[in-house]
Amino acid sequence: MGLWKYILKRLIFALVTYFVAVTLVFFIYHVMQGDPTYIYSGNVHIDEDIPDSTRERWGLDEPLWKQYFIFLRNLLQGDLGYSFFKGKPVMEVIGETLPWTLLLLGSAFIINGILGILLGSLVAWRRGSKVDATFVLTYNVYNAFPLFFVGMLFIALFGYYFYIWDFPIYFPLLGAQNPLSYRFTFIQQVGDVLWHLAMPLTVLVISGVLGWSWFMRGNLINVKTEDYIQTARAKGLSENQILFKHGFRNALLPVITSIGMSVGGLIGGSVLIESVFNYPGTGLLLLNALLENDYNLVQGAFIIIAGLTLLGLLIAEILYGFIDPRVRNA
Amino acid sequence: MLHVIYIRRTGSETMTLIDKEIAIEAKNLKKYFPLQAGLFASLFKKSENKFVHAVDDVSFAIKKGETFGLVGESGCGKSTTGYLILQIEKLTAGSIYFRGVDVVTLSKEALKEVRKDLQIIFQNPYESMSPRFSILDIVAEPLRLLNILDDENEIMQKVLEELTDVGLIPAEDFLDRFPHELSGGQRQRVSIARAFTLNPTFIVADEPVSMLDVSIRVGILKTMQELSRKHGTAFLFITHDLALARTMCDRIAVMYLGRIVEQGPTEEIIHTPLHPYTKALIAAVPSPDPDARRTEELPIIGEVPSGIDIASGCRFHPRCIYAIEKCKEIDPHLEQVKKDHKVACIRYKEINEIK
Amino acid sequence: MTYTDITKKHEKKKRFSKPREKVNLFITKIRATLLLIFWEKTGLKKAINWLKIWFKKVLDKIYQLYLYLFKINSFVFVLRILTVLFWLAAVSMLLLDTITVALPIYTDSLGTDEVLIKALLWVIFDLLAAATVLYVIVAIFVEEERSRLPTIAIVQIFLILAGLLLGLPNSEDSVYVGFALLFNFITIVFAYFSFVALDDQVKSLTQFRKSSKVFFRNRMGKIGLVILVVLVTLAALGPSITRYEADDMDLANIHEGPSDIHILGTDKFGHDTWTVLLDSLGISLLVGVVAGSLCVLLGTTIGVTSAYIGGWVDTILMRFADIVLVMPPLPLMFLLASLPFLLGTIHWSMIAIIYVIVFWPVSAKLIRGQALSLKQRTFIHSAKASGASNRYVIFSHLLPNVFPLMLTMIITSMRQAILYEAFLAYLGLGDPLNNSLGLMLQAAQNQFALASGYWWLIFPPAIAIALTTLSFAFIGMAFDEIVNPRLRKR
Repeated sequence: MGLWKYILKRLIFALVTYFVAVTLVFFIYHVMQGDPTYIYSGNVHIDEDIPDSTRERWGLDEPLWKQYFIFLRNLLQGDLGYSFFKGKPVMEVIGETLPWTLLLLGSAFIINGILGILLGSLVAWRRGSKVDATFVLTYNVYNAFPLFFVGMLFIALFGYYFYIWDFPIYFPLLGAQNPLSYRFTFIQQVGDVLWHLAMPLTVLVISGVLGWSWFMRGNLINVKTEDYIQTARAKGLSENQILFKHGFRNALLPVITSIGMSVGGLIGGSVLIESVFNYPGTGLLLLNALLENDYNLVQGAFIIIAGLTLLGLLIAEILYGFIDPRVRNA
Repeated sequence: MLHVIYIRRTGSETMTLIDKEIAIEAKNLKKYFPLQAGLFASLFKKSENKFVHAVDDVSFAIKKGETFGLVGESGCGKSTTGYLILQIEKLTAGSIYFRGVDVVTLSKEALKEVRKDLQIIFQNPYESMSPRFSILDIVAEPLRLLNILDDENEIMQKVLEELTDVGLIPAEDFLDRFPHELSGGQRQRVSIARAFTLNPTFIVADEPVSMLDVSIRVGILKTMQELSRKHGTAFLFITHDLALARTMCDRIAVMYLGRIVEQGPTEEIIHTPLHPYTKALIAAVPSPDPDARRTEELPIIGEVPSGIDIASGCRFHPRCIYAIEKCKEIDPHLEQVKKDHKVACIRYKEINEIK
Repeated sequence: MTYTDITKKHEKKKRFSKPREKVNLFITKIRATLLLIFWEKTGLKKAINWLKIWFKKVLDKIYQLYLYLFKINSFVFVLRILTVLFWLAAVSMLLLDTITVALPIYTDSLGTDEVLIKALLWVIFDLLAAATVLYVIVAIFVEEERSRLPTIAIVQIFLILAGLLLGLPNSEDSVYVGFALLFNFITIVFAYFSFVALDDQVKSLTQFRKSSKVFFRNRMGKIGLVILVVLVTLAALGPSITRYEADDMDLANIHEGPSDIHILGTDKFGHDTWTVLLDSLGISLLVGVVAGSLCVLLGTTIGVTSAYIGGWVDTILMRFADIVLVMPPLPLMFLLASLPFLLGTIHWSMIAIIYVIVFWPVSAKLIRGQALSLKQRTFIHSAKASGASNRYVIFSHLLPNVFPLMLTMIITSMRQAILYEAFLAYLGLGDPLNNSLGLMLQAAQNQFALASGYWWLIFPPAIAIALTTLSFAFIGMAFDEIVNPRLRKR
């Protein structure tokens, strides 16, 4: 099977999956949630006959299948409905938060990948040494604590106590920007954004790098026992040559496959981090919308987040198809 | 069992046989594996289903107490034939007569009854035993599954007997061991013990020694021969090693791409092979004589093709050095040459100068 | 035996009393008839014989056990003692549940039919659970039944699921049942390793000893096991070993630091942190154990089914798994947690179910891979050639060989479930009525514990989570070395 056929196949699978996800969200909110107008009206204490007019306005008096098709049609036009609480179209609300999430996720993703693979191979190649033991312990201890707890500690220490103790450097407690940043120059604005990004990114990246290098380490240890490594050794290659020419490449393949899978976990992590640091991303938006019963927004945010995950997965799979010809025929 | 008389047709001729002489007979066995088409491929394309012709119209009969060899290169369908006979794989078409009954048509319960007389020894002793079963459990599994003995003590006694028979002495020491604690040879002996626990009349031996060191082979083969002589067991001996087949088998069938191309008594096949493929196989056997030189190239062209797109006419013609135009058109069937010697080649007379 | 056989037997005895032969013959015939009707036809004879044989076997085994205990190394001995203790704990928990919770509701029920039915269901559920628990001890001591221990474990987990779906554990007291099943599950795992694995191999150099050596040579495995046992014991004893109840409010001491009165201080409502911690630990462990094992068991069931049946069943199941797998887990959990029938009354069992829904494909895919490779192994062919049924192949060949991998995955999954429960609780989507470690952290955050210096509110739950997950991780790694020999250090 050719590369294009493989890509087409993955694309179709991703689209089917996305369609299923979207349908799932729609039905969860329209069949199981009951009548969303009551949630709305119940919250603002309005007269009982008002829901009827609201229902009409939102098209909820139509039969379900018709609503579903309207929903799909709107989705194709990029219209995700109207947020009750923000009083704005969902697309606009998400549009405000998405850049922040992409910034956080994208930078975390790149740093994770590069540092994780390097650290993992270093540790695996020095198997049994002190570096390895320290790594194993660090990995397990760091991952034993919930991510949000680490975030809380970071905020308290680097944000609050550094400020209290009059340290020269302290980090902002929350948000992605200084509220007054519109007065800054462009360079200052960039610096401000990075300054706000530093802590959430660090928490996310430490866990990510550890996870990736753990995976890489496991793969490399497995590869190390393969016959071709022994053959390479017998040929008289140096240990470093063996590591980079034989071990590294073969251990990398499964890691690249798992890039796609890791996107989902990374998004989960970013949701936690966003809520701890009050970082105005889509994850936090989803959570708040959920707690406020803003169902259109929840639906929209989930659709966007699931789309991001699938996109990441698709890219990783296509990348993998380029690298390893075997998967194209699988 | 009843002495059933049944009618056996070969082409147009009809003859009757009493099942007393014959242990098992396979008739027109066919096994086609469908090629897995992908989900999307099957949605988008309306292609005709492709099949791998693993076994294509194979017939033979094995006499009681006889060792019948099935020889061929890997991938020619010999192991599949063995599996088909034991009903491990489902047949695509064909029938298997055992005690005069077509085994294929039997119900599950009746099949269980038949299974008491059919057993198998597998090629790879490292794969043919569950790592979580002790040797006792492995050997006793058929006894328990087919409800032959109920009492645990009797089962243990029987297993001890069998283990002693295959030369695992003292047998008591082996009962509670696990497969990974035994050597390859010992494991294969356990396989043999397991196959013989039910005193079957017929055993399929699927390359029983090919995974073993040459030094252990003789012992294992001798054990098998002794036991088969003792119990009067018939063997279907599957192997790719012609020399091995020569020492073990009374009769040999040579398979190529799911078909039997030549069949006859061992010595006759070895000394006067009629089919070009058999000739090539025999020429490929290294000679123990240090002075003998291979004067000519092997009389065969190329590699074994896949069983998917099989050549028209004689399926051997793309590799045959004697092939002519006619070979591409006519699909030869087994022809009787002498008593018990059959060959499937339209040119065998010209090639071998037989009148 | 037939009617005539019995008659003949009795005739022989009475042959010498000739004068009254006819009468005797008549009496014998009647006796024979009666015997035939009541003794043989009813199956009573069979049953009693069966019982006799089993009783004898059990006695034999107890004697053998006695012999074993002095033959083998000390740690197996400890493991066996622990097995029995955990079993006893499981039984007593069930008894406690039946006596203190289920029966009173049933006998005192003046309530509606609904309450009555629920109580009745509860009693039935208890009895079923008790049956499996009782069966465990049979399975431990009777050799033929031992290989069924994994099966019992699976049945039990499904029982837990059934209980959850019936809504039985909605009452706080149902923790008894949870703990009973948890203890029993531990019993099964311990028993599997200390009796089953060992019994088969006790005479030769044993696989189990090798495994246990690998496990216990691994210092992490040892540490993990010790931490876990301590934590489970603490959680099981719960508030009964503290001075307070979990909802006691000591309003005189609010936000007090650790002191004689409150070992770990109090929060802003005067709850005793130590008491709340123990209470939370129980719930968190329960969520972890229930969710983790259910998830892997569901995954195993689906994975093995999918691999064994193959064809379109396999395709459909695995496509479905793929679809669930590519969705972002935490947001998906949010979405499920926000469903109306869960919202408002999110119970911890619901969180467990949500976890199972989101994470089953992971284990299903792994187990399917393993089962597929096992399916190709010739021992399955060879069993089939001897007329093995599908059930036999699955239960005797596939499942026992998948079991080690399953165990490792259950442990990993439990660790993950505990963390995810904490995530959800922290984000405000947890069970608001029961204490849990995540909820404690959320409460601490709401009280600005770190900034105000109330460290005793935030560090104990965080460390408890860390210890729990760490112990699971360590045990998992040690198991991993057993399953995957390549990871062993040489």
